[in-house]
Amino acid sequence: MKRSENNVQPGMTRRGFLGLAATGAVAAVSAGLVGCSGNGGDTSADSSSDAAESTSSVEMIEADSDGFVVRATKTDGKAPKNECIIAFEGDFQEMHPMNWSDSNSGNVVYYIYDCLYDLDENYEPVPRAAESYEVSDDACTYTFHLREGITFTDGAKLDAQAVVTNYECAIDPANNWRRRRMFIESIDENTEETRVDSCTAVDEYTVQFHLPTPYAPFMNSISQFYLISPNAVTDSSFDYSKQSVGSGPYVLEEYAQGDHVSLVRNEDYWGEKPSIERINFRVVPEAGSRIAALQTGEATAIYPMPTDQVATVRAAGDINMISIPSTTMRYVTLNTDYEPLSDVRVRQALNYALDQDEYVKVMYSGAATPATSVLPAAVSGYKAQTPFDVDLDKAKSLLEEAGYGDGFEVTIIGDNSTQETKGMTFVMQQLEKIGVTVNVQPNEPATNADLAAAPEDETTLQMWYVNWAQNDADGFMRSLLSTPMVPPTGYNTAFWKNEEFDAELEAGNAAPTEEEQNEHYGKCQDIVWPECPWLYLASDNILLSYKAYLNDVKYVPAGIDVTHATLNV
Amino acid sequence: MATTEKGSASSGFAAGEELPRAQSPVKQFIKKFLRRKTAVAGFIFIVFILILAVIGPNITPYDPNAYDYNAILAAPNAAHIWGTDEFGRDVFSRIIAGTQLSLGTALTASILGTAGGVVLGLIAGFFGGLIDSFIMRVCDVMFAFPSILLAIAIVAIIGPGITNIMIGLAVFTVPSFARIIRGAVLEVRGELYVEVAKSIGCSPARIMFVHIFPGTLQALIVNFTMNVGGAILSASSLSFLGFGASVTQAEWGAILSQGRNYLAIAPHLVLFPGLVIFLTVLAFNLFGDGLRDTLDPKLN
Amino acid sequence: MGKYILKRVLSMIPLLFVVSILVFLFIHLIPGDAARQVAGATATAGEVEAVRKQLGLDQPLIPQYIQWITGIFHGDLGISYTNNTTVAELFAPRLPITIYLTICSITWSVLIGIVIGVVAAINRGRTLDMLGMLIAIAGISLPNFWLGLQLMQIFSVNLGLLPTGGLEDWRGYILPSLAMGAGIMAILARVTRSSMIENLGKDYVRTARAKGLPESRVIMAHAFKNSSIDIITVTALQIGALIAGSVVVETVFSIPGLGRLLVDSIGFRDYEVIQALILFFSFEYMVINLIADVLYALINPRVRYE
Repeated sequence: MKRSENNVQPGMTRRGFLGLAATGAVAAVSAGLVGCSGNGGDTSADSSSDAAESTSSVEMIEADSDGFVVRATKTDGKAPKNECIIAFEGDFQEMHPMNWSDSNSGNVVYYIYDCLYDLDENYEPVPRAAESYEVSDDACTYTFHLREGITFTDGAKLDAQAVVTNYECAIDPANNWRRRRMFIESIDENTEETRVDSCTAVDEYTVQFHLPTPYAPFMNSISQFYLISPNAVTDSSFDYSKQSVGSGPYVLEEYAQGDHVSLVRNEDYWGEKPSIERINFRVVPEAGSRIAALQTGEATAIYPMPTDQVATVRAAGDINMISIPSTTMRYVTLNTDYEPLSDVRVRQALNYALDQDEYVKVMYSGAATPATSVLPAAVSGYKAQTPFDVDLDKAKSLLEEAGYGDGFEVTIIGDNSTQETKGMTFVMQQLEKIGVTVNVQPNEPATNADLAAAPEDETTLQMWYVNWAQNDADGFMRSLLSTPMVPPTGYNTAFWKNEEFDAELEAGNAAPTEEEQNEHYGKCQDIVWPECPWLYLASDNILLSYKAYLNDVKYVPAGIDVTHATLNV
Repeated sequence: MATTEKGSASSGFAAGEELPRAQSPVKQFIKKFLRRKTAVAGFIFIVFILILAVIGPNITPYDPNAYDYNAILAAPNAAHIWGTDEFGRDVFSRIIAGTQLSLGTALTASILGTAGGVVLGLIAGFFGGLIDSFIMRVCDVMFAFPSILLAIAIVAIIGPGITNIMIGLAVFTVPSFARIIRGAVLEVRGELYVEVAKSIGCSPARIMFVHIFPGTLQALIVNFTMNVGGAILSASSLSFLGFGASVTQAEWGAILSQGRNYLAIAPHLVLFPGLVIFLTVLAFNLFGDGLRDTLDPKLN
Repeated sequence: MGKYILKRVLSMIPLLFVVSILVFLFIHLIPGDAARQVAGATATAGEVEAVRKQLGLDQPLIPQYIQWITGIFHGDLGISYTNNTTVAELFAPRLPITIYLTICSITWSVLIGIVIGVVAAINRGRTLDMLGMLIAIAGISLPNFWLGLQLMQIFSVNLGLLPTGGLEDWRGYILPSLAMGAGIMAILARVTRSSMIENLGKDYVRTARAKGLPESRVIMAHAFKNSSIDIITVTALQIGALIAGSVVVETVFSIPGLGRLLVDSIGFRDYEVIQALILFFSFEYMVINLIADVLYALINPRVRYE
C-alpha cells in the first residue's frame, strides 16, 4: 500500500496535468496516506490527545450584564434612510391579525394592530389600547378601561363595542381563525371548552371578560388578541394582505409573501409617534446571506443571528449583537410506551449519559442554558430541579438494572434542517457512550407533524428531537405533558401519563393568586423531572445583531420591537 | 515506477474491454490510449480513488466519526491536516472514508441511468414514429417533474436512504441520456453504412447495437463522464435542501453542504471536499476525452 | 413543418393531462397533512379536522381532482392554503423574476460556453484548450451555493459593488445569474468542444478545406452548423435543470422566484400551488423541447419527422 502510493504521487506531479492547486491537493492526499500508516489503527472515540494543537475557531458567546455579546466600536455610522430593514430567516405567511400562526407574522401584526395589554420584555403586562384593568378577587372577572379617542385607520372608533365584536369573531368556529385557541381549550378530539363565559361592554369605554374558572395565563391571551376595525372584522371578504385596518403605530404598505413586508408610520397614531418612518421586514433564508446583508447595510438588523459568526460581527466593528434568554425549550421526547424507553431507569440513564454543557457549546456556541426543569427559566413558575450531571457509570448500571446492559437500538426523528440534524447527531454521539445506538432520521417538518399526530395505538415514534416555545407555565406543561394532550389531541408525544401531575396542573390553573399557582406548577415540575419523559437538553438564547446606528431596539414576547427606536440618519 | 502504472493500466483494460478477438486490437488500443498523457493521468486518478473507495475506511488516520468538542472547526494543522468539522471530526479522515459512499452512489446512479437512457434512446431514434413519440413524451413527463420534487417524493414515500437517493438520481439520468442518444441516432441513421446494413437484411436489434450504437459511443462517453461528476454534485444539492443520502456517515456532498454554514470562519470545510470533487470530476472528464479520442477511428 | 408543429402542440394537451394526474397522485402520496400545516403547529385534532373540511380535503381523491382540473379549465389555478391568496396572485410577481433570471443566466452562459468550446476545439491539445476545459470543469464541479456565497462575499461585502439580495434594479440580477449560469456554461463548453472536434474530423469539412475555403468559414459554416444540433439539445435540457438549480441560488440571494415557491409549497403541503407550479414547469419544458425539435429540423434537413 505504502509503496504504491509513493509511486503514484511523483508519477502524477511529474505529468503536471492540473496546475498548482491540484498538485498541492494530490501531494496532500499522498502525504496524508503515508502519514496515516503509522496510526491507522487509532480509532478511539476521544482523540483529544492527537489534537493537542487543534483549537476551535468558533468564538464562545458570552453576554455582559446588559445582554451585549458584541458592542460596536465604530458608532459614527449613518443609516442611508430613516428606514429599518430587518432580515428574518423565515417567511411571513399571513397578515391576518387573528389567523397567523408563525411568530414572524405575529411580529409584524404587533406593529399594525393594538391589543388591550402588551407583554414587556419581562413578560409583565403593559397598557396599550386599555389604560388600566382590574381582576376580581375570585380571578374570574377582568375589567378593562379603554383609552379614549383611539380610532382605526378606516375611521371607526376603538370602543368597548368594537372589542366585543372582535371577541365574537375571534371565537366563531365558522371563522376557525388560528388565534381562536387563545380563548378555547380542547378537552379531547371532539370536545372543547371556552375559557371565557362572556365578553360585555359595560359602558362605552369599559369592557368586561367573565371566566367560568380562573385561568392564569389570561393576560397572555389578551396580549395576542389584536383588535381590528369592526367594519373589517365582520367582512369575510376583507383582504388583510393588501391593506390593514388597525390602530397601531404602523400601517401595512406592501406585503409580498416569501419576500418582504413593508410598513409605514401611522401618521394619525394616538400614542407617541415612532421616530422610524418605515420598517421593512425581509426574508433572507440563508444564514451567510443575512450576515452579508448586515455587513453591507442592506439590513439594519438580522434575526436570528447565526451562533458561529460572532467573529465576523466583531470584525465588522459597526454591529451590536445581543443575546436574550428565551422561552424555547429543546428536548427529545422519549416514547414511554416504547420498550425499552418504557423503563424509567433507561430514560434516566440516557439523561445521565448526555452532557448538556457540551450540547450548549457544540450547538449554540454557549448561547443557551442547560435545562434544569421541563420549563425554561424565563417562564414564570419555573422551579429548578436537580440536574442529571454526566455520570456514565451510573448510566450504565441503570441500564444493566433495566436489563439493557449491552445497550439497544433506537430511532430518533427530527426536522431535516442542518441545525436539527446536527442536534440529532450530537444525541447519537452522546448515547453511544453507554452503548445505545441511535439511528438518526431527519424528515421534512410536515412528515414529522404527521408522525407525531398518530394516536397512541398506531404511533411509530421512538424519540423526537423537537422544541417548544411558550411563555406561560400552564400552556407549556399542559400541551406537552398532560394526559388529555396525548396525540392525536395534542403534543404529549412522550405518551407520559400521571394523574398526580394532571391534578396539580388543574389546581395551579384554578388558583387565584400567582403565588399559589406557582406552588402547584412547581410541584408539577417536581413530579415530572425524575420521570424523564424527555431527554433534557437546553433553552437557547435569542440572538439579534443590528447596526450601531440603530438605537434602543428591544426584544419583547411579540418579537423585535423598534417602535421606540431611533436611527442615526 | 513506470512499470507499475503500465501494468495496472493494461490489466484494467484487459478486464474492461470485451472485444471478441484477443491481444492485438487490445494492445493497439492501449498503445494509442497511453499516448494521451492527460487521459492516462485521469485514469490513474480514477484508479487511485477507486482503490480509496475500497480500502479507505481502513486507512484513515482517525476514526471518521470520532468527535472532539474541544477542536471544533479547527483550521488545518499538524494533527488534522485538513482541519476539523463542526463536531471536531477529522475532515481528512471523513473525506477518505466518504469516498466509498460518494463514488458508489454517483457511479451506480450514473450506470443505471445511462443504461436505461441508452436503450430508450436507441429504440426511439431507430424506430421513429409512434414509438419515438411515445418514448420522448415519457421523457418529457419525467423532465417536467423537477428533480427536487421527485427526490422529495421518493425520500418521503419510501423513506430516506442511499438506495433511494441512487434511484432518484438514476431516474433523472434516463431521460437526458435518452434524448442525447436519440439525437445521435438521428444523425447516424442516415449514414451510408446503416442504409447498407438495412438493405442486406440485418435484424433491427443487430443494426441498432452493432451498427448504430458504436456511432453514438462518443456522445455517450462524454456525457457519462460528466454525469458522474454531476451526480456527486446533485447529491450535494440534495443535502443543501435537507434530503441528503447520509446524515451521520461521511459523504463528500454532505460535508460540502454542511460546511457552507461555516464558510466565513472555517473555509477549509468547503475547500477540501470541493477540491476532491473537482479533481474527481476532472479525472473522469480527462479519461472520457482520451477514451473517446482513442475510440474514434477518424482521429488516428 | 407547419403541420408538424400543430401536431406537437395538440399532443401537449394529453401530455399535460397525464402530468396533472401524476402530480396530483404524487402529492397526495407524500406523507404530511396539508390540513395540519394550515391549522398550525399547536393545533389540536379537532381544529385540524375543521380545516380539512374547510379545504375540502376530506373528500375522496377523484372528486378533488375533478374539481381542481375543472377549475384549471376555467382559468382558476386554485388557492394557496397558507393565506388564501389565489395561485394566480402568487405567481404574478414571481413569474417575471424567474423568466428574467433564466434568460440572463442562459444568455451569458450559452454565449461564453460556445466561445470557450469552439476556441478549445480549434486549439485542441494546446494550452488554450487545457485552460478552457479547466474553466469548464471548475464550472461543473463548483456547487452553485458555494459560488453564490463567494461572489457575494467578494462583490457585495468586500467591494460593496452589488447587492447581497433582492432585485430592486438590474444590479441585483448580476450575481444570481452568474451563480446560476456557471454550470451551464461549463457543460456547453464541453459539449461544444467535443462536438466541434468530431465535426472538424468529418469528410465534408475536409472537402470544404480541400476546396480552399477560408478556415473561419470552414469552422463556422460547416463544423459549427452541424455542432449546433448538440448545442441545442443540451441547452434545452439545461433550461430545465435551471429550475432545480434556481432553488439553491434563489435561497442564497433571497430571491422570491418560482423555484423557492415550489420548495416552500412542498414544505407546507400547499397542494394547489404545487400542482399549478408543476403544470407550469411541464408546459415550459414542452414548449422548449418543441422549439429545440423545430430547430433541429431547420438546421439539419436530413432529420425527418413522420
